[in-house]
Amino acid sequence: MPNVEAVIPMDILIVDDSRAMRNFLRKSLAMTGLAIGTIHEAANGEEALALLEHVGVQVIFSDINMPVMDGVVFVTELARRDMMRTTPVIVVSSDSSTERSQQILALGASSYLTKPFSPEMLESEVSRLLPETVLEKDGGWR
Amino acid sequence: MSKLVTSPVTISDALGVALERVLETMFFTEPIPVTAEGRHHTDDAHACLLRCGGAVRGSFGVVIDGPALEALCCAFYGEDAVSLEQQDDLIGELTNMLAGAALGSYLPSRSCALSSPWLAAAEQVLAEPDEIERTVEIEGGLLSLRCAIEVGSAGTNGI
Repeated sequence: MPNVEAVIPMDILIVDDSRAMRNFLRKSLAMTGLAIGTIHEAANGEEALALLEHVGVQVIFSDINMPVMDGVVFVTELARRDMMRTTPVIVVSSDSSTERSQQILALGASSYLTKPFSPEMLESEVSRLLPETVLEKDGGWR
Repeated sequence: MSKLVTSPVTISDALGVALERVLETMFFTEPIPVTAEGRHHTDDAHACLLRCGGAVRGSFGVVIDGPALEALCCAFYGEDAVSLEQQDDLIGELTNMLAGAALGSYLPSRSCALSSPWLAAAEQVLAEPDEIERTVEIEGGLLSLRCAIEVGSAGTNGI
């Protein structure tokens, strides 16, 4: 019998100025085998930072091109606050250039995911970034 | 056009690759290529534009028949019916993804800045004579991706 421990679903923050993309990410995550808890949303980096003062999340998905505070400044600010040491940040962008992905990863982001992407790619990235966790269809994050 | 970096694919081919990748991966739709002669958009077609800067300067435009946009929107949101607001949001996101995917195929090593997309009249987008275009048929009608771009020197920026 498998060692079943208390399961805590992952809380997630999606940072994107596009309602369509926030909605798509939300639905794509629901299609994966990951146990998802609360999904928080922010329309830019500034909103996200304000939200993170009150809630804790296990993974952050962030766009790059956003008004008010873009993804580059947001990731830089997360690094300055030492938040990425404990919370993986997956940057999602339509810019698939190696120049851009190297820039973002150098800032400290955990992963760079290029649009278009599938739910399987999302699941693969989260699983890769949280190897110490057990991610199962009917299980969760322990 | 001053082309300082050689791309292994033409921009026309890059548009085709972008349409195929984006539609198949995120909309679960298999596009069928349509020749220029067979491209006749409906009167209710929607359109969207964005500018690009950085390694490539110019613009991208998307024109899509009304029923096709509605069908794509339903596939994207996983809903049977969608609002006009959702359709407006989606055509902007679609334009962004198609432009990004096309530039990624055309110049994979160079970063380009994309502006926020904005809605436009289909006639305005289709009226540009010098643009390169690829059109595909999807459920509900036609989708055209157009662009007029110029490859700049490294270090330039601004959109």
